[in-house]
This record gives sequence, C-alpha cells and structure tokens, in this order.
Amino acid sequence: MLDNATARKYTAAWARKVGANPRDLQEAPPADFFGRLGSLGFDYSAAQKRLAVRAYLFPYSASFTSGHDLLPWLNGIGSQHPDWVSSGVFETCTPRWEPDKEPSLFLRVDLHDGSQGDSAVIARLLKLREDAMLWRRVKLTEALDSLVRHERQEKGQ
Amino acid sequence: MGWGDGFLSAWDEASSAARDVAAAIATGARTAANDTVAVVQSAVREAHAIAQTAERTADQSVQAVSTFAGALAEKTAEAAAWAVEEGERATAWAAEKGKQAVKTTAKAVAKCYDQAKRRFSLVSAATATAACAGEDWTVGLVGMGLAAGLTKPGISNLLRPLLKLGGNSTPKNDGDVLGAGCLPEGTSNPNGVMPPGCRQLPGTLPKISYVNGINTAYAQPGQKDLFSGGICKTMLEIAKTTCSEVTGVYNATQGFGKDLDECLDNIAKDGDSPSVVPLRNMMVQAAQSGQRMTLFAHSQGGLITQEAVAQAKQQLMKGDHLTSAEAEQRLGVVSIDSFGTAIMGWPKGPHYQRFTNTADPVPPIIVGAQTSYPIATWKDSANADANYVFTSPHLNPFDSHSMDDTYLPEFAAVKGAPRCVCKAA
Repeated sequence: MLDNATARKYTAAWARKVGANPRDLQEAPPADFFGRLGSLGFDYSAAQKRLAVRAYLFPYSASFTSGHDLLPWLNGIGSQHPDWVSSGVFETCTPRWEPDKEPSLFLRVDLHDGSQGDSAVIARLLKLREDAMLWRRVKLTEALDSLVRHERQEKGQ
Repeated sequence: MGWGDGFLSAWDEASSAARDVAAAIATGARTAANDTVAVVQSAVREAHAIAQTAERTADQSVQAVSTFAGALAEKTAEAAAWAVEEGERATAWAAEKGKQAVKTTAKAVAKCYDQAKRRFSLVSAATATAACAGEDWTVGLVGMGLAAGLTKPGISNLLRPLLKLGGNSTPKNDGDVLGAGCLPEGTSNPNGVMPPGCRQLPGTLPKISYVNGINTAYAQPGQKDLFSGGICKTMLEIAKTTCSEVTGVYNATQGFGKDLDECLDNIAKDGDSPSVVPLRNMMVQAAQSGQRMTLFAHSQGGLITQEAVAQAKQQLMKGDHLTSAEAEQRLGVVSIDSFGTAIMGWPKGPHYQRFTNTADPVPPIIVGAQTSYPIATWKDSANADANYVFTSPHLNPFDSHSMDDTYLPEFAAVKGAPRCVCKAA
C-alpha cells in the first residue's frame, strides 16, 4: 500500500535526481496529486493507493493513438518481454496534467509498495526512462513494422 | 590587475594537473582536433558493430549494453588521444593533463580557466586565436568526459556555466511555428521570412524550416525590431545566406542541465518537446505529398529533430500501413542540415548534411550524453550524405557554437553565395 506521504517522498526524490521542482505537481481531491517532473509524469490516486508513472513514447497525436490494433500488439510484446518495458504496460490517454492536449502513447508503471527505499524507486524510474527512450527510437518502429507485416499477411490469407 | 596577479592566485590553489592545463592554454598550445569528430565517428561505428553483434544474443542484452558503452567510452578516449598525437606535442601534453585535471580538481581548473580567458584579452589576436582553439577543445573534452559519466561529481561546478548558456528562452512560445514578420504562422500569415529587399512573391523561392537550440530568445528582449536577435535574427540570416523563404519552429528549451542526471533527463524529455509535434507533422506531410522539404537544425534542435524523424516514420507506418523500409523511402524527400549538434543517432530516411566546428564544445557534450542511451542512439542511425568538419575558434568558446556567426558563414563558404535574383514588385 502506498500512502500519499510516501508517494510524495518518492516523487521528491525523483525531482531531486533530475533537477525538477516537486511544487510543479498539482493537487486534486481527496488526496491525489499529479504532474510532470522532468521526463516522467506522475499521477497518485489516493483511492487506489497507487502512483502511476508514465514515460512518453509518442506524444500528442489523436490519429496515432486511435485504432484498436496498436495497444494489444504492443502489450503482447510487453507481456513476452517484461524486462523491455520495466514490467509496465502501454497505454494511450490524455493525462490529468495536460487535459487540453491530444492523447499520447505512454509506457506506464504502477508503484503500490510503500516499503521500498528511495534508491530502489529511483532505480526503477531510471530503467523506465531508458526503456522508454529505446522504445521511442527503436522498438516502436520495429513493433509497427512487425504489426504491418502481420496485418498484410492476414489480409493475404 | 595584470595577468600575473589573478592568474598566480588561482595557480597557487590549483593541483598540478590543473596547473598544467592552464599553462597549456596560456602558452597557446594549439589543438589538433580537426580530426577528432571523424575519429570519434569511426570509434562509434566500431562500437555500433559491437552492439549489433552482442544484440544477436538476446539473453545477454544487458551485458551487450554494458559492453557497448564500455567500448564506446574506451574508443572515444582513444580517438581523442589519437587526434592529439597527430598534432603538436604541446597539445598532446595539454590534452593528457586536461583529462587528469578533469578527474582531479575541476574547481581549480575552472578558476585557472577563467584567469586564462582574461589573459587572452591581453595578448595579440593571433596568439589568442591559437590559444583559443586549445581552450575550446579542452572545454569540449571536459563536457564529453562529464556527460559520459567518466568524471567525478565535483565537475558539475565547471559544467554548469558550460551547459546553462547565456540568453533567454520564452516558454510561452514553445513549439510555435514562425512565419513572415517572425510572427506565428497560420492561415492569416502563411508565408515565411524572405531575404531582405526581395520582393519576389512568396512561394517562389526554395523553402527552409529552422529549429533552434537551447537558450534561444524568441526575439531580442527589449528590442522593437524582432529581427535584432534570437530565432528571428537567425531566420533572417538563413534567408539571406540561402536565398530562401524561412519558417522557424521555436524551441524554448533552457539548457541541457546542471549535471549529468539533469542533462540525461532533458535529452529524454526532447521526445515530447512542444517543437517535436510541428516538425513531425511537417515531415509526414512532405512524405505523403512527395514535396521536398529542407530543415536546418542547430544544437539541441538537432536532438529534437532526431525525435521528430523517428516519430514521423512511426506515424507513416501506423497511418499509411507502411513497413519501416517503405516509410524511410517516403522520408527521402526530407533533407536535414544540422549544425553544432549530434553527430550520431539520425534515424534512417531523410538525407543528412552535418556541419561540425571542432572548436565548438557542444557536439562533444551531446556525443557524451548519447553514450548513456547507446542502443537508442545507434540502432537506427543513418550516415550523412556529407560531413563538413571545420575549425573556427573564438575567444568565448560558445561563440564557436553560434549559428549566426560561425555555422552560417561556414555554410556559405561551402555552398557558395546564393543566386538571389529577386524581381522588383
């Protein structure tokens, strides 16, 4: 279980790590908070006792994030290779910190465990950042390539 | 205070290694860094091959990354050493001592460095210029060493002023596309900035888009004339230099960061920079229409452009159901000229020309930072059609990075004067 205070401690540690300001986070009732700290987005849900951390893969594109084929394909790859995705999931959404923008494709990890030390959490977030970088620049292209080939093969049959 | 007082004060506080660096700078040891970029590229190609080989063993991917990064760091160091050996002995000595200094007393080096810079203003222009090349190269080496994680935390004291460059950015305009009058482009302002005095109808000259680097002002603060500074001035300079109609994509990023962690996070953040979206959309539109597109990218604008190319490719694949090879072929209508920015990590598809001043400290900093994301940088990395490497040192190392004063003049020297025959209205 991750309470608000521990979630704030984790986000503050990340903010220190990357030179961001934890005051940039916004509050929401009952005890939620959310916002960007450096390259990652944070969204704490008090009801679920969960801190969702999102790394951008493909930002601000309704056309890219629409359609029903992409997410199952990506999450299929992620379930086969959890180490490629920091044991997270792919998600398309418009996060609470930028409600006016078009939806983005994210890689998301959920933190539920409040017993972890700051360094362990930071290590996980650094891995998320690196994995997201690799997906943005390489793996997403490869995954789309395999998806296109798969769809062509299916149509050909 | 003369040369002796300030410098000797710092000298007394410096470690022996730091003293050696400052002495090398002050005596005007000239660097032989002309070949550094080419050598680093060669090293990276080798490292890339290592990465690809290692990647074939999927279950050893973590080890592959480690091997790759290690090999790259080693090769980069070798490359730097090799380049120095090709030059004068004094430079080799200064560079070697510089590396030692980076690892030992960065703070003392910074102090000596400042004093040495003051010294340059007291000596003849010729001597200062010669000294400056060594100075710039040393700064680049320091940046590369830090960014590659090869140095100690104390170095951030030296790096801070190097990465938080002077100037102001304007976050509220981040991602704006700028057209005629350096005002936001749109249906009421569809044209770009034209060469001055040219009354030729807009749309009749070649078109160039430009994305700026870090800490660039939207316009010169406090000036009524938008074209007196910032991105607007550069757009005008590009229009004049190339005889083209220029649109700008304003990037309001404020520096790489004060230390390695912040620098790496800022590079990760380039992927969703507001200026990525218009650049991505321009490239997709060009690829879909077959209309040729030319983009100039300076400094961190290059990293943002790399992200935009990757996203444009993915957008084409998703939207038009193309394989990566097909998307890359469509992106062949895009030409990207980069200036003082990343040497590697340009996704396949567009045609690339790179301009790199060996006296510019920024490209080595970017190279060093990219080594922290090795596979993401080099797995999809195209060769340039042309690589223009030159040496243009300045008293202030960051003048060596200037788009207006260093890179555009070099572009004009390489490409020749534009034939700008503008018709009278």
